[in-house]
Amino acid sequence: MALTDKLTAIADAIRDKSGITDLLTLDNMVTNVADVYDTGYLEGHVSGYEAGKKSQYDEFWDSFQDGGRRTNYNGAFRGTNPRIDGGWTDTTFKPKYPMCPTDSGSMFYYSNITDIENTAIDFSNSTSFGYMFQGSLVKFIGVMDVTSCTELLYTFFAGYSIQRIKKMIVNENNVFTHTFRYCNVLSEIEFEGDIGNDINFAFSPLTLESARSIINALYNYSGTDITHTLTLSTTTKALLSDGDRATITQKGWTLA
Amino acid sequence: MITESINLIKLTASDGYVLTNGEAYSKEVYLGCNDKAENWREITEAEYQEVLKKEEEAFDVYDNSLGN
Repeated sequence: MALTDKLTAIADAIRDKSGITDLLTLDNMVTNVADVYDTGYLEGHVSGYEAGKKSQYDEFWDSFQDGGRRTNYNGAFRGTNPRIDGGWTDTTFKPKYPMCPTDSGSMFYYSNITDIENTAIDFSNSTSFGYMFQGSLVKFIGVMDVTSCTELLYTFFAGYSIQRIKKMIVNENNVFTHTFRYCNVLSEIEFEGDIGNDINFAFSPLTLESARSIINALYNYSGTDITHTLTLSTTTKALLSDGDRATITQKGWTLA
Repeated sequence: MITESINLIKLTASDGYVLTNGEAYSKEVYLGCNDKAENWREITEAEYQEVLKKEEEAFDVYDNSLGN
C-alpha cells in the first residue's frame, strides 16, 4: 500500500469517527485524533454511566419489590421520627413495578416524599392503613380504595402537609378512627362509595366541593334509628347552605 | 319557583362550654333526623382540653411502640 493510501485511510477513519467532511492535513489529523479520542471517551462514559445507572436501578427495585410480587409494604418508604433529611424523597422514590399492597401500615411514616398522586399504587387489597402518612411530607395523594380494610386507624393522622386526596373509595363498613386528625391543610378530597360511620374533618379547611362530595357519600340512615356524626371544621361549615345541612340531617347524620 | 321548608334543629353550646355526645365535640350541632337533644350535653372547655390531652397520651404510647 502506498504511503498516500495509508494516510488517506487514516484520514477516512478520523472523518468516520468525528463527522468531519473536510480535507485533512497531517497537522489536522494530529489534532483530530485527540478529538476523536475525547469524543469517544465522553460518549462511552455517558452511555456506560447510563447503562450502569439502569443496571443499579433494576437490581435495587427488582429486589426491593421482589420482581413486582411484593405485597407487604408496611413501613416500606418510612423515614425516622424525629425527621432527618434524605432517605425516601421524590428523587429516590421511583418504583419500578406498580404496587398492590395488602399491608400499607406506616408506608410513608415520616417520609420525605411529597407527591404520590400519580404513582401506580392499587390499595384495593390492603387490609391495613394504620399510621400510613403520620409525620410525612406527602402533599398529594391519588386514589385510595380502602374497601378491603375495616378500620382506618390514624391513616392520615398528622399528615400535616396533605393538601389533596384525589379520591377515597369507601364502603359503609369503614371505621374512621382519628383518620384525618391534624390534616391541617387538607382542602380537597373526593369520596366514592358510602360513608357509614362517624367521620371527622375538624382540622381540615375543606372546600365546599369537597364537603358536598362527603355529604353525597353519607349513607342514608333515614327510616332507621341509627344516627352518626359528620364533623367538619368551622371554616368548612361556614360554606354550607341550609340545603346542605338539611341533606345531612335528613340522611340521619348529625352535623357537628 | 321552588318553595321549601327546611327544618333544622340546632344546638349551641353556652359560652365557655362545648357540646358532646361522648364521641364528637363541637360548639354547635345540627341534629340528624334520628338524633335527639338529650344525646348531647355540655362540658366545660377545660374538660374538653382534658379529653384531648388523654387522647394525645394514648396516641403517644402507640407511637413510641412503633420505634425508629
